[in-house]
Amino acid sequence: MAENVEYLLKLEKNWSIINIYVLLFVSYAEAMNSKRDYSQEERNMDEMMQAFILLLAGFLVVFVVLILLIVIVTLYSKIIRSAQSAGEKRAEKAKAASDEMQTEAKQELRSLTREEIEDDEGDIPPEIIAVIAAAVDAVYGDKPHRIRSVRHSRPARSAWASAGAMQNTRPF
Amino acid sequence: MEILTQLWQIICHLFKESGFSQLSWENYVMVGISFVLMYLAIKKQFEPLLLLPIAFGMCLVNLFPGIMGLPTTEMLTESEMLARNLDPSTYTTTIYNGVTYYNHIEYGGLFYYLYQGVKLGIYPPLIFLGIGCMTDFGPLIANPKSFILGAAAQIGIFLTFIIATALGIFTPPEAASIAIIGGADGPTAIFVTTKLAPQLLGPIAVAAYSYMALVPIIQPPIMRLLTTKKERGIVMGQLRPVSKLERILFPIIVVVLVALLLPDAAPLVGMLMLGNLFKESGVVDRINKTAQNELMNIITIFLGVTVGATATGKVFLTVQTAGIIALGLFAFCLATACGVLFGKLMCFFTHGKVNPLIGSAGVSAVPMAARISQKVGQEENPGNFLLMHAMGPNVAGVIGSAVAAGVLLSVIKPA
Repeated sequence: MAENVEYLLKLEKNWSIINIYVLLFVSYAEAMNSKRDYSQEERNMDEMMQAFILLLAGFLVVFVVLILLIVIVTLYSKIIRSAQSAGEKRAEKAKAASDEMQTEAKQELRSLTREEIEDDEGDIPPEIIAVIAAAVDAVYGDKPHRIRSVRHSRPARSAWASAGAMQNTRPF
Repeated sequence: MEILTQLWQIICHLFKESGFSQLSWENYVMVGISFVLMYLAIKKQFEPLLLLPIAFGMCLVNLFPGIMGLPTTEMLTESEMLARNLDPSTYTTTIYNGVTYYNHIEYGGLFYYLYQGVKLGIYPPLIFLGIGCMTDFGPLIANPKSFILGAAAQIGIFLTFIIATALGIFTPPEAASIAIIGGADGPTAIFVTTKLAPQLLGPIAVAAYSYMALVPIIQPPIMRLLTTKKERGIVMGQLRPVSKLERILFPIIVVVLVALLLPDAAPLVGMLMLGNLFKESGVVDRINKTAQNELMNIITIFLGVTVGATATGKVFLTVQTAGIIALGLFAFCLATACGVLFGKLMCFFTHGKVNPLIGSAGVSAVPMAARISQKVGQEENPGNFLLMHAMGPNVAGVIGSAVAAGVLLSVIKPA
């Protein structure tokens, strides 16, 4: 206590009145904090005050943390979405270009399959012809090609039998 | 004749060692209560995965208290050793004041060692790991405002804390442990209780899991009370699809933020997000499956049994337990009410785009609370599908209750 008084009186005279108030406040605070016996009511009040302050602190902290999370999640979602949509636009353009080429090739194929493919025995369904034409197109791609006829090949032997014969007769 | 007297002596010794002579009436009452809990778990299916081990642990510890016995080290002098017919050469010694004492160690009971996982706060974060592997944060990412509803429901925790302290029968750490029941999150409640008020672990765990099972009964009346018919009928718009990158970044960002702001919540939130990252990354399928199934099951068994084993007669059959049960219910109702009220607030601010019923899903009883929101909303308007919208606040509530637990742990010093 004595040291506090000395220290405060060393400050400028203009501040003396404020000093006195500060002094009173300091002594009051020290009295509150000094280790004396609290009665049960004071203890309860103290606990209640603590609890109330904790309530406010708790509200504040939980809300602040979660609002911060909201802001960050919204932000990064926006960033990702804009990045992804930019990527998508580029992909779309490339796709459009390749689409054009594909439609051209398809038109050619359609004109072919309609009349010019000879169908030997006439029992090959048009779906099979379309599938064969698509397979040929996949292999030959952009090179110009034309299917002239489709024939059903009937081997003399079944595939398994010929494979077995080949294996047995292959030179060592 | 010698044989008969010896036989009689052995029988007397066995009787003296048996439970009948060592137990008091409180133990028998607790065994009866454990039977009731077992009935609730098996017949009524009240969260059986946890309530059944808890009930059985309670039963076992009250039949044989030594199963939770602490390991002891007795210091015996040489003469005492010989009196007990023990061989001194196999024991370690301590020399004190010039006298040699032999350390006679009695090992602890089975549950004592299994309980260390609870006491040291290992099991609840591991359960959160499993929960994270099972949680889909998509609805939350699509609509981040749901975080607010998850936060609002945790207000119930803090209000209950005030009231529990005001009642005067609980110290602040005990009041905090009771208040966290309102978070409707079993592992969080156990985590906080073991750190702040381990003596109340038994009653609080039983209360927490019972109320989680009672969510379908407790919530709807409160929800109907606080909302108007018109508000309940609001149909919410479709949730936007959430990309994989967003889902992967979410757990990382959340854990960095929460662990920096609230280190005390780091074990819980960290493990939750780790589990979610396992799930969303898609590259660790084996670990994901294990965490969801085998690990969860193992930890659930150990946690349930040892938490039940803390419920001895002396701790459970007190006035405090009745207070815990009442306050736990109160915390639950408050949390639901705060969530719904905040939902109303959001409804007002978004001009009717948010259905207040999803606010009650902010209590983190995943997915039961979301299903309740869906059910009550459907009663009003059969075509209203609130489930996905309610999942957002529901999983936000898991994070929110872990954050609230972090706040309580960092501010309140254990008694």
